Amino acid sequence: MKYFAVTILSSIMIIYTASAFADITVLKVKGTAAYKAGRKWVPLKARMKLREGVKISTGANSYAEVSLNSLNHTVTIKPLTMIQVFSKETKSSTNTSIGLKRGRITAKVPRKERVKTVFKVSTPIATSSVRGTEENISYGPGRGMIIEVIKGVVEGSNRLGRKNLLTARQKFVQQYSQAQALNILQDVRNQALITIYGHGLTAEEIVALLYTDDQTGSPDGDTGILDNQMQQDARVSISIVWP
Amino acid sequence: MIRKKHVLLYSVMILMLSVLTFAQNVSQIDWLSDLDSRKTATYGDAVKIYALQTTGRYSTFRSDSSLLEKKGIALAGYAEGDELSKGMLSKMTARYLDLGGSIMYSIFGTERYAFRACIANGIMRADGSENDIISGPELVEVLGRVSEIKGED
Repeated sequence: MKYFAVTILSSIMIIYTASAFADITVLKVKGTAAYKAGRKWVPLKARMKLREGVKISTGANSYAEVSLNSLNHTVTIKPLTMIQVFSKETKSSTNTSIGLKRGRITAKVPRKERVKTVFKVSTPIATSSVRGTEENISYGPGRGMIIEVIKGVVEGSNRLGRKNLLTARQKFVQQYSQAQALNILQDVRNQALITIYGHGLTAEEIVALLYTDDQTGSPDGDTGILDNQMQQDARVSISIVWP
Repeated sequence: MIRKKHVLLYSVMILMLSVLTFAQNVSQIDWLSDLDSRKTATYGDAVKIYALQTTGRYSTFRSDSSLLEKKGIALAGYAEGDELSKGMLSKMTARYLDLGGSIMYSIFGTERYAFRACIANGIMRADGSENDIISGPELVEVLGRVSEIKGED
């Protein structure tokens, strides 16, 4: 009787474990892409099955597309990107967590009724939570974490727990050493409005004015390059348009 | 019998060649991982990553440099081990992307104005100067942005 109970319990455990881990499958590879097996990088190939917690890296001009579970949640890994994938799946829920170490990914998370979906992309400075959508996420030390919504709704939250709910055309930009993400409509605002400073000048015009004294580009204002050209002849073509 | 041997030999050679053609060179992934951990990138790293970006492979510094020189991306007067500044990387990037957005860069073509042109195009951040030294992860990040702009992904 005891032997029978152990067998039943073991079988249940095996079945449960098998269903808990989702199938991480490589759909497409272009150029150089690899996954980490032990301490080595191994080339990634289409239709390859990967284990939970796998690290994937892509080279220059290369990308890989990976399916994360049976619900067709996919991630496209763009050039010079490194990620780590954790994906679990049961009949009623999916739980995917992607660690973005560097680079850019596009996540597609089609929504399915009656299946509770958790899909998170984390970087050292912020996290994106997807709720049935398509999004571009990038991360790097200079520009920080950027979430661009293509379709649907995404929540971006930084390490301090400050959250922004994003829909189409909105962008979450969290930079290092900033307590708060930038305005989510900053891009739209920048495209629509030009900031005018004193005397009606734009920033570019002010920069041009500031640096016209120092045309050599040297920090100490050395005009040697121009001075050396003073005694030379030059041909200049001028087109005059009369009003 | 000899003909059969020849056919077999050629078949094996074709098979090996096709395997080599489609085999991925994972060494660049190893190198990129190593670059991730470096606090300072060098001009040699920039040459290597631009060789990868333009041809998909890299070789020695000398041959990569001459290749980039032909394409107008390489810089004159720098050695392989020289620390890479934002200005140097900006100039290589501006040449590769053929950035013409900044009037000052179009006229003078210096590292200083290349850096400003890169800021204007959203490749570099506005804080800092062209003399700042770039780290390994920053170099990889800039090249990722270059790929994005080129539409190579």
